[in-house]
Amino acid sequence: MKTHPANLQEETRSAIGKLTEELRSRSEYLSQHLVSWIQGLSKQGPPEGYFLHPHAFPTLFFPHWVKEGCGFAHDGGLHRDLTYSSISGYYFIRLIDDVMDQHPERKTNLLPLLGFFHERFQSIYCGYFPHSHPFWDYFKKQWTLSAEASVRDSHFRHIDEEAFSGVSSKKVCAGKIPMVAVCMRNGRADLPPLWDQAFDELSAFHQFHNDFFDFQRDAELGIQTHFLFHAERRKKDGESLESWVLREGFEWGADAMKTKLARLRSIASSSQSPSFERYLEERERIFVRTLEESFPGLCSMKKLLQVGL
Amino acid sequence: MADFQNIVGKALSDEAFCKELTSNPTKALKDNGVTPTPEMIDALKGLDTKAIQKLAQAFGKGPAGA
Repeated sequence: MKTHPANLQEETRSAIGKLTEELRSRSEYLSQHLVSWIQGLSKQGPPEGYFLHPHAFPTLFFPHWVKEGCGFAHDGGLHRDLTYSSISGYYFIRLIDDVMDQHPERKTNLLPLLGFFHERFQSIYCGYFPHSHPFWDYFKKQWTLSAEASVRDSHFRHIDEEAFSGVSSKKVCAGKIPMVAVCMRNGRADLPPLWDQAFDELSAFHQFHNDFFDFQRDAELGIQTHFLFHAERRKKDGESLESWVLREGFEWGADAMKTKLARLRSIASSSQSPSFERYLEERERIFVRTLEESFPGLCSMKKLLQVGL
Repeated sequence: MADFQNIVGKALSDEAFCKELTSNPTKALKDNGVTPTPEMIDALKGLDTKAIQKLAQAFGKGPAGA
């Protein structure tokens, strides 16, 4: 089931094409590297699939949901531009994050492209907001908060609940910039609190979901996460990480995600955005299906853990 | 018994080991330094490997998405 807003697939495909063409017009050599990297991110699928994947953080969806929820008229040109800008911003952050995380597929030799991505990300807004417009205060604030959260997160030795909700889940807050741009282009002075909260709650769910399902990869790479912090505190002497997950970690993580999804559903019910509600329903359906498919195996393994105790 | 429990945990992260543990539990346990007991062997032989693989698949496969 497709959960993305109408036109977004085409907007995304077009934006990625425009981005690579823009770079090709400046440097054929660099564009070849960019295309190769983009293709690597989306594995076998089309490049736009990377952003529209059911498990992807819906950065590109939010401006459409805000438009719908606030009852703004559709401005196709604005949304195409925002998609283009946000994809550039995403690639900017992805390159840095992969290096900071020591990700096996990090592209250190592409770091000089950061300037290109940032210029593409920011310059779109210059056409919509004059230099003195309050938008730029919001832009600077969110961009700085996002950077601060990433740096703070990288220094954490222990990510407890407070650190997770206050910092780790805020790393993507620059994604609010296109949301406030939609609002300000439609005469609002700010981003409505409901949408501010919706973004924060969904980014927290998304981060926790990744921490949970990628716990083995994170542990291997030495990445600190809230899930791994909790595991360290709860494990018995001599107990392996996987054994703890089987004994209680799976249920703890699943319950935490159910709680976050319930909060999101409550927010969505007041959002006036049927698209946002449909997205959450689908996200929850996939999540519940994964739990149900995992449950028989979990029960088998838990029984096995009881042998000889 | 913690060693046995950790071997059970290893089956979650290592598909080949999971198959070996269920198809030839005595060897798999001995190879990992655990002396098999009849109780362990019975429990391992009755294991639903497909269900465990489904559980393992939920982990370790980062989504091909942003």
